[in-house]
Amino acid sequence: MALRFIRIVCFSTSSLLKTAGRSRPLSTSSALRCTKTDQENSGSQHEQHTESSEDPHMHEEIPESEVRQRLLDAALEFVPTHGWSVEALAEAAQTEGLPAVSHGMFPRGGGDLALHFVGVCNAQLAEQMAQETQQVEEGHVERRHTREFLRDAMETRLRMIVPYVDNWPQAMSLLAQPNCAPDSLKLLSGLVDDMWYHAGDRSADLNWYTKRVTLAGVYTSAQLVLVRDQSPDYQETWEFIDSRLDNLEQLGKAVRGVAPTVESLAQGLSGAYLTIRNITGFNVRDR
Amino acid sequence: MAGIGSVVLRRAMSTESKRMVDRFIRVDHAGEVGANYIYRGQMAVLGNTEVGRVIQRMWDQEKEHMAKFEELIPQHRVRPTVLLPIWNVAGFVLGAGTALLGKEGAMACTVAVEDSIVEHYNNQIRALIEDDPEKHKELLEVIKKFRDEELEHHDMGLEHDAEAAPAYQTLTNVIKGGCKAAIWLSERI
Repeated sequence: MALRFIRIVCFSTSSLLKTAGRSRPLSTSSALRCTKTDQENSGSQHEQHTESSEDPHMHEEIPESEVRQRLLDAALEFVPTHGWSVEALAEAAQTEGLPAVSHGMFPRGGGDLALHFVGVCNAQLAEQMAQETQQVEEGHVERRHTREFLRDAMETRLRMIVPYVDNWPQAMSLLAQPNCAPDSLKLLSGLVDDMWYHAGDRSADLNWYTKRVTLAGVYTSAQLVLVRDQSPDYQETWEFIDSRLDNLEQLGKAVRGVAPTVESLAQGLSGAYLTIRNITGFNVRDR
Repeated sequence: MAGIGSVVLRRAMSTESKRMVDRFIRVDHAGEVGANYIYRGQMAVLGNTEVGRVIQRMWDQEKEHMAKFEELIPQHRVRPTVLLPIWNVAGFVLGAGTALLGKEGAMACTVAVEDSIVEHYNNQIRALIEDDPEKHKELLEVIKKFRDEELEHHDMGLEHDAEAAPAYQTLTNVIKGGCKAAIWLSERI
């Protein structure tokens, strides 16, 4: 009964989509929609229509999201030979026992692969930093100086790119494309937020923004240095990071010294108001 | 310890819950900062009068509220609102401006603002309870306590002749409208 209801819903959805101009055959699209909502009780008639699996038993047990993850992870192995491209995805699909056209799961092709890689690296770094923070909070380890922590975090994160550094410019250009740029920016903001948080930043005002924006600038420029770096063990890149973090520190000190803080701005306003009141003779009532 | 506890808690929350908590803490922090500056503005005008003591007491409580949210922001990894400098200036101008209408004007401003804030906190409490009262227990306690204190301020304002202020109805409506707009903006930006 429920199955019939789902088929009716699917049918109407797919006919709506057809009027919107999609060219997929009706039966395939409705079956695909059914498969997504119907995964728990997938009967054998649905399995044949799925694009992502030829083996009916595999389809029954493994959700699509996991298949995607496995494919992306496997594709990273083929990046050095095929670059960040659909070819790498197709090769990986074949090693996973899926048809080569499975790369169709990733409409952005190499961009999706690059985004996955960046996400995985960020998550790994966040995990490491969280572990260190936990050690510090439990008292096993001394909290490191902010600058040192940031420098090490950057180095750790950039070293994750090193195995793919020859193709990294291709990945960077893919990530800059309009279809990938918003997600790429989100990943970058998450990265610098994690770095600052675990470095000890607890600010709750506009400093929150300036710190993250400047660190993102340091990170992106360090990436650019890394891909051009020919020095032994990428020494040039780590030195570049050191000097940029120095600049950041100096900038922070200068801004704090010169610009009025919000507090003194408020005091300034109070003072200006009182002065004007006294001058114009609009005095306090009970004087 | 609290830091890691909240890291674990955040992982346990769904994305929707996280986004809701993120919005709530951001806008509450913005509100308390604004309230702080409103009272500062009122003190600048009426600090030396009798009602100055009342305003000082309310201001001190608002300072506590603001400090609590400044603690919650890094704890929940919330992004603070970009509009903070605007609320600083706007709050001060509102406080000083209404205080210039006299003690009743200042009290009317307090009543209107606190009324908006109490309504806003009640909405948040309802939403958090609807979502998951267990996961949001700590935040719920904080918001409930602050809601009760804001209600006290509201009542204190009424006690001190807020309704005798010039153009009381218009003033109240304009201020409440401003608060609603500020809340809407800070939830998003």
